[in-house]
Amino acid sequence: MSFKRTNLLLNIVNMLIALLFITPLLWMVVSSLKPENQIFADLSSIKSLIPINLTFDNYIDAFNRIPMMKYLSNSLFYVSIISISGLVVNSICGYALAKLEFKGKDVTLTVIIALLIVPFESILMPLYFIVNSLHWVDTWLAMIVPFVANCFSIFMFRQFFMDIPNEILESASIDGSTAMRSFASIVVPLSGPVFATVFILDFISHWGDFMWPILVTTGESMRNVQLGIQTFFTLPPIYYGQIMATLTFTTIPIIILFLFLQKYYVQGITSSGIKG
Amino acid sequence: MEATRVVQPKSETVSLGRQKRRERLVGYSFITPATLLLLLFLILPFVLAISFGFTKFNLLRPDKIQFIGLENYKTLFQDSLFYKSLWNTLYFTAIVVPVQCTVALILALLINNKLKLRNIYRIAYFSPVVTSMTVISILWISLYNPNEGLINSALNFLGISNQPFLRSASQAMNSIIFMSVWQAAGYQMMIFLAGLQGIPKDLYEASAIDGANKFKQLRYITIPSLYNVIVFVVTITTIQAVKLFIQPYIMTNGGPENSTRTLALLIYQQGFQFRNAGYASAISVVFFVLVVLISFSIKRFFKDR
Amino acid sequence: MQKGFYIALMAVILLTGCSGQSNSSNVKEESGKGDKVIELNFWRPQAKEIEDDFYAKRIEEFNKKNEGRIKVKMEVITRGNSFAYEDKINAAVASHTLPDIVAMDGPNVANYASSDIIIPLDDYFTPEDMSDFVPSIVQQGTYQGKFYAAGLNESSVVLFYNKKIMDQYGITPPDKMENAWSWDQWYDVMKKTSKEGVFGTNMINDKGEWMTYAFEQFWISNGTDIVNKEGTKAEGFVNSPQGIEAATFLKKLADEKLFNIDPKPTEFEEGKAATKLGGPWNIPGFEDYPDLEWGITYFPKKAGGTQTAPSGSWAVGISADSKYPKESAEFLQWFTNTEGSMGMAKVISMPASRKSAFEGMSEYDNLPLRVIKEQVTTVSNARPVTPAYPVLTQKFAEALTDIMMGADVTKSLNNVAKTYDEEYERNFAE
Repeated sequence: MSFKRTNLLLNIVNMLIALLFITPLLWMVVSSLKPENQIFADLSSIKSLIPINLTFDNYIDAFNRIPMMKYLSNSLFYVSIISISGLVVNSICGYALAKLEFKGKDVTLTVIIALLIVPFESILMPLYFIVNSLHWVDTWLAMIVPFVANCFSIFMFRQFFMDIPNEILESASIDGSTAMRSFASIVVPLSGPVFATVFILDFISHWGDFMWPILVTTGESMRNVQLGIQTFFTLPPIYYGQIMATLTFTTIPIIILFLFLQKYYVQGITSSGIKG
Repeated sequence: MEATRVVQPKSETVSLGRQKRRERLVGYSFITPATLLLLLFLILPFVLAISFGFTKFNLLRPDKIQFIGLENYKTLFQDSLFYKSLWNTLYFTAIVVPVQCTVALILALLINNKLKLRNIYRIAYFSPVVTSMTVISILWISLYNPNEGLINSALNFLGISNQPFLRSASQAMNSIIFMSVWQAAGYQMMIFLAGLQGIPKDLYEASAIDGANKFKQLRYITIPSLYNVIVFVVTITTIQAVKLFIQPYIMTNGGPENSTRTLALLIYQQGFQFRNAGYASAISVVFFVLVVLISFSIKRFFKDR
Repeated sequence: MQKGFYIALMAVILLTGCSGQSNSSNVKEESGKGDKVIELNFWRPQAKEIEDDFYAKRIEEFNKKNEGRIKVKMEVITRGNSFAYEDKINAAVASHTLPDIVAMDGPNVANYASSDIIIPLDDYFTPEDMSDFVPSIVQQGTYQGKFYAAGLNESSVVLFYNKKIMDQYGITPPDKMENAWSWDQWYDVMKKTSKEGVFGTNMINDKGEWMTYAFEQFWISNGTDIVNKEGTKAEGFVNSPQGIEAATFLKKLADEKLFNIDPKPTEFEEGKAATKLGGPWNIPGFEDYPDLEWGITYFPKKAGGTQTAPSGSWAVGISADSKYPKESAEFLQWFTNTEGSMGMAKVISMPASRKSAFEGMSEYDNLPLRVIKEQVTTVSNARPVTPAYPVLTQKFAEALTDIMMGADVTKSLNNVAKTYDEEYERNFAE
């Protein structure tokens, strides 16, 4: 049948689009492996994507300049805590807003959506005053606690939980299981893709933290990867090779995380039968 | 026997009432952690920010903060740069939201299948989201270079003369729109993908037996099943679009001739670079009200369908 | 109602502002001895490692000299390519957590001084010190007659040229200041050399602070400036006829595509630009390009106008919150002495901030560095000293960028004047 032909067509289309999308990532990786002078010499031609004169010098130089492993482990530490605790706090909130009946539910939802709109720039200073008055400046608390609850995640969980058929949940409550247990044993397994998506989006957004860490940390011990990268932008001459090397290095954890979470997407497909 | 039959409904309503109360209790306990955190770290700072809007507050002179009533708002509504930024923000949003959501949905559909290479495609589409904005902007500024950029080389090849792109007031915003859609579509794609995974496969199987083609399946099964997800994606994309900041900040700094100045950029410039925290807060408040209005009209739009 | 609101707001701000831990000085009991060691905190933005190391070494030296009495503790703040360091200072000011000693970019001195964040240093620097600093350092550190911040080094912008390209067209760039190229002579050079993928010049470092730093000098050279001397007014200065003439000249270069508005950072090094407006910080990078033969000449001036050159540097001041201004000043005075200025100049290959420091560096007596020394010690001008500088520089840079991209000269400059004057009137007029 035409099945094979459709597949071929799909593959061709996907491949062309994929090429269009992956170019900057490719450019970053290739540039990180090139001598400094080559990067800009090649910039406006196709040569910029072709790995020639490969060298690891940029990585060696960059790692000699700053304790990148330390910054990486700092970032992994606090971003993981935000994202994991965020999954718990935000998913139960989203679940309550999707499936439970209680007074004030609609108002809470409206407020949460409205809060999504508040630009971070406009609350940056007041938030700093609050954190400062809690004596959290220069502690991990300042980096983590304010960002655990996240309106975006709550809203996303809520929208996805809405689609879970009520009959499944009702059967659980007749069994007499407690709310928390029925949430953990029925809702969570059904929602792999949502949890995976929320996790990765939350993780990425905090992986890019820059402004806030500068305000609340002063010493070197709590620097994260973005502050490390910024080191390479200080004062000319700026070595773009080293910048690309650090950027590549700090993108790797995200890619690994992404590859790891892929399996939850597959799980979603096989388990969707239960839902109908 | 008779007696129990009479009693039963009564005990049911009692247990239903208890059930409801329990549900309410569970509901409150589930939202408490998130609400408390939001109250302290988002609502309180925002209320503070709103109150700054009624003051003259130079960040460097916190001790000289001064209540000036609606003065900031008066200035704001006479500020032609505010209207220009407002218009730019709305223009960007009006184009980016429909285009980006459609592109994202198409991408999600393209890889929601059993192709062997789908994991590779997925990561490719998502890669601009995880690639640093610095890298992306260096690359795109050079792609858009009015004298020697790759895009202009391609245009020359087609017989079209060099275009200024980011360096012209009439093309800069559209250039940023094009790049933004490309950069962020992978983000919405991930959410659509999560939604597509939740559509029961038997729906498609049943319709295939009925002889529905792919397009009909999309129209009558996929889109309706994604209803909640689409509402979410459109709302989120809108909110992200009106907050447009980083691309113009890095690529054009609001220029040329303020053609890419957005409200978020204006807030940042006034609040941080110029240190007029009071005035910047007033802009934030107007911005907030505006976006709330837009979000509600999105809600309305979807309710009417 | 209004009063109630005001009081409530003040209460919240005071509560949140004052209750935080303070970053500034604290006294530590040295165990065993009864003497008190004064600990001073010092914030400065991160720079290149050699510069950071130099600071650390100097501070160590100071601490050793003053052991048991004063101990300076330096915190290096990430700066990167944004205003993050300034934002951190803003936050610290608003919450009263500023350190004792704080580094700031030159043009911010007036802003901080006018907000009483930093204190005058006139009592601590001797007249000999003041006459030893190059004039632009005094100019940039002085607000309303008082001296607030001292720098270790200066900066300057010169015109680099590609020797091979100059030889090819038989051009001999001047090596004496009195022969410095005029705008028109420079224009002719660009016109001649600009062909076959080579631009006449490379002069866009970035489209932010660079625009004011480098191009304000065109106004000064033409006998005007972008604001008046007192810094209170831009109308009639930035948009004066001479100002419009300067901007029109720059627009002409853009219209005739004599420079690239979005150049690669290595355009000149790769031989794709015949000349380059740049500074001493570019020189180390040139060494990576063995094919490049470069020379150096003076910042171009208006024919018959003033010879001038950009200047400006990071400077160090003392926070008004400091409990130990005297000890902080003692440190600052020692830190910026001839030895410090010379050491710094050597380490980062930037010109020194003291005339006496140049005397100890013979490399500045000959070309190419002689050009830099001459400019720094005789003709350099600091950027405008005004508390509304953030608005001025942003708006001026935006307008100039717009002009280079085709916007109307008069309209753009009028807009700068109007915005600046309104801002000054609203926030700084007495």
